[in-house]
Amino acid sequence: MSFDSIEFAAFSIAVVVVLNLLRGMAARLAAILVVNLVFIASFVSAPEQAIPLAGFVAAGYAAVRVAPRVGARGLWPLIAAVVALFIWLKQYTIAGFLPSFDSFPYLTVGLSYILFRVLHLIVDANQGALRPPGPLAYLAYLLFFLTFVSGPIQRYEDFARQASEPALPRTVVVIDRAFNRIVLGLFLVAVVTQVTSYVFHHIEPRLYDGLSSGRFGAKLLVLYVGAAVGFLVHLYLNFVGYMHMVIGVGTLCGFALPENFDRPYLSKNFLDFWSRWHITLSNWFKFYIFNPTLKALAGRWGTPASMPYLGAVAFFVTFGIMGVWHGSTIVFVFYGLFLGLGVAINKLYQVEMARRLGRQSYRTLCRRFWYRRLSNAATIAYFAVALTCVWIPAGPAGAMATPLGATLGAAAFLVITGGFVVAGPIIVGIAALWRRLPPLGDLGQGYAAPVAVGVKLFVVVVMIAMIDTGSAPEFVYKVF
Amino acid sequence: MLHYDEAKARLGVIFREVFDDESIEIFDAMTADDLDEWDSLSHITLVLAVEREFGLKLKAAEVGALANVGEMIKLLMERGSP
Repeated sequence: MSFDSIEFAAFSIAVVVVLNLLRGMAARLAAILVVNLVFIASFVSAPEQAIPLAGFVAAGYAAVRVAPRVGARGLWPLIAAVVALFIWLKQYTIAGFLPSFDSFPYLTVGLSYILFRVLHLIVDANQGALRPPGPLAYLAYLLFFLTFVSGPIQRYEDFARQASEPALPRTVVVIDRAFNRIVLGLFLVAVVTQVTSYVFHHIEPRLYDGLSSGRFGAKLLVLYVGAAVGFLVHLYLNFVGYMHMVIGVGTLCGFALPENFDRPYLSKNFLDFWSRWHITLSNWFKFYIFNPTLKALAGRWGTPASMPYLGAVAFFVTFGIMGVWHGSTIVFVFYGLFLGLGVAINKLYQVEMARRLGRQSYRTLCRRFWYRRLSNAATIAYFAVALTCVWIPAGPAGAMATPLGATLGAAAFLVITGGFVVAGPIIVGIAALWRRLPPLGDLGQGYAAPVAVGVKLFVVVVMIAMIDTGSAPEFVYKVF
Repeated sequence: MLHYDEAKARLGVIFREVFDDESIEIFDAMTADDLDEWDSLSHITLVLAVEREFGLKLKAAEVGALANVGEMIKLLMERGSP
């Protein structure tokens, strides 16, 4: 069931009505579980296709229940077992020696995000930070239809609290804002990213032809910059659009789902970028990979002088794992290490600059307009180039792993940086203007507000009905 | 259970040591935005120093969720050793 389909719109309306009528945690959890199962059933053509997913969920539950009883030493075998099962089901190359199910097309949608939620439960239950949920709460949380496909990764304690008691008051203003987000999300996914998808896919084949020629030139650079920036814009708007829809529907169901983006185009540097882009995933990696890794390293070898270097190691470990999570090929390993290199260089650069200039002078430099512009633009350019690993197919990826590819990447980084130095303030200006606009259709108080909500519901249904859902771009992150 | 004033005073000493700045005065609403040097690396240095000073071991969820000084003080009042 696609989020921009008429089926999902009808399904969501029914779910919103049911969840708003029910009182009490058990009833709401039971309803959520039924809704989850109906939603997941829409992804399979035969029930047996969901058996591996069900097996993974069951294994996860057993691990969560046993986690509080195994102590700190027993935590690692539990995590290893769950991750190994995930690797097998996702058919990573490393699990090639295990039996595969090539002839059996089973459901893997949502598996990655289920893994994150299961590991969060295992670790926190093991450390006594939460009580393991019962089977009903576990299934309602783990398979929650709004976050099933690609997050956001909500923490269990927040989900449980909101399942018990709606997070936001059911006022017309709250409902109106939820509809605003749904309308905006639908517009971004079904209309705007149709355009960005077209632009990107229009450039792609020309770029691959150019790469196969093996010669660096201005035309090839323009094509590569176009593809890199085109994909970044497409990914951002596509992901943000889906999040608007998910969070909007979540609000109507009584859930305050966590935000996944905070204007990443404003990032001060590459470290800051990760607190603004795919925030819930970044936080998950911070909570469960980066912090424990750095804590373990610092506990053993930590001195004020060594901390930046230990931090660099922790960044490489964290982003290396994040890269492998995106895909099992060597390209994704490189992607993770490239991102890790970016944050490690960023951190070590900060330390070195503070040492050379002195803290106060470096602070002053960071506040200068030209420096902020340059730092912001270089951040965006670095990420745009890194994302090549996500969109480039295996064949052309080979060409990128040559001196030609390295030259192209470096030149594109400089060109995109220069371009964003100029374009950045324009984007920021447009975004600021957008945020200053009065809420979409906010007609004020009294009788007009329910009318506005009704009109927006009508607009949503009409927009979906008008869209040829088959041609709307897929949610990019669904594949991970 | 630790008293608020004591937890805050001992935490203040840790902040001044970790960030090597005698002028730091902590307050409940203080976050990383109020202190340029408070980043993901110094956060872990801070956590290790807090664990040593207050004789406790913070859980992964606690380390990640400690966003401001007020939350730290509250946690130390509940779990910190006198």
